[in-house]
Amino acid sequence: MAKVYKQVPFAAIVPSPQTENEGMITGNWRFLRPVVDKEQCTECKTCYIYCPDACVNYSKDEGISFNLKYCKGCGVCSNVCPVGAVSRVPELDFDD
Amino acid sequence: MTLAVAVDAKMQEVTVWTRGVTLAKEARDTATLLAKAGKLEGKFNQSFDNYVDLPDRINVPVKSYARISPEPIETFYEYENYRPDVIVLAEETLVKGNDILKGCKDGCVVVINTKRDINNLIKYMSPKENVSKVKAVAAIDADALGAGVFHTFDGTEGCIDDTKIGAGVGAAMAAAVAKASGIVKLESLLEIADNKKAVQQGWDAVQLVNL
Repeated sequence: MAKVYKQVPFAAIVPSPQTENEGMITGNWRFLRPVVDKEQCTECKTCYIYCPDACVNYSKDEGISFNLKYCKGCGVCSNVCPVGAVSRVPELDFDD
Repeated sequence: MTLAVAVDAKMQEVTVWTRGVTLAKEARDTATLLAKAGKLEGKFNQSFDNYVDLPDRINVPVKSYARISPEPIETFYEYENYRPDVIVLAEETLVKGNDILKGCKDGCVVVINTKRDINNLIKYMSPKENVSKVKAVAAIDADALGAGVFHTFDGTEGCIDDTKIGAGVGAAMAAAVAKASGIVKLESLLEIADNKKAVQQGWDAVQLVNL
């Protein structure tokens, strides 16, 4: 029987997007920007797991960083951070 | 799109940018107040929300519109203001990352609900080629003048909203628009708005920077 199950394709698989849809860039929804304090960050990656839009990136050299083109500023990362390393700063405090 | 200019040459268009759900009611109030005030002065008006896409998501940039004209308005089938005379931002961060000046007329006025220095906000305005068309930028700290309508996110939004038109932030913003652009008179706004104190304070507190 196990063999029969393996033949059934896993449901709801869509091909990963190859291009960007300009209408779906959500960075301008954000008015509080997540800023990570590298000193406090323990790189536990809880924010990486919780981010609903997969906007948290991690690399061994850089640590945690955010994809600000799509980050909506929902603040989940700030809320789930166990050490309080992610703060939310008003967007107009930044020039870019 | 050019047809409306030919038909409604004297029509003035107000676009109010706001954040979905959390501030949408205040922007709707601003547009409604301006349109109703225009009606009191014997002008013709339209005011409506965004029909172009589905905006009911929290903090999404959305727009409300008002049109005021001394002659009957014959623009029925345009669901956006393609050529705004007045651009209102109900929340300051909207100035960044949105094409707020798209299609604006020469001598248009921008009104921003902010505590910040206006001169720091002008650099964010886009598209850049339209910045020269802006006559003046006005700042009003409307959040301090009128309490916003409190929304809970329990799904009853709208059902329990029995606040009057212009009870909160929208009243001060409408007064700021009236003073900055002269589109309607203060007396007509005072007659309609629920929070008359906020209207008067908004009229007095608006800071105008001519470009």
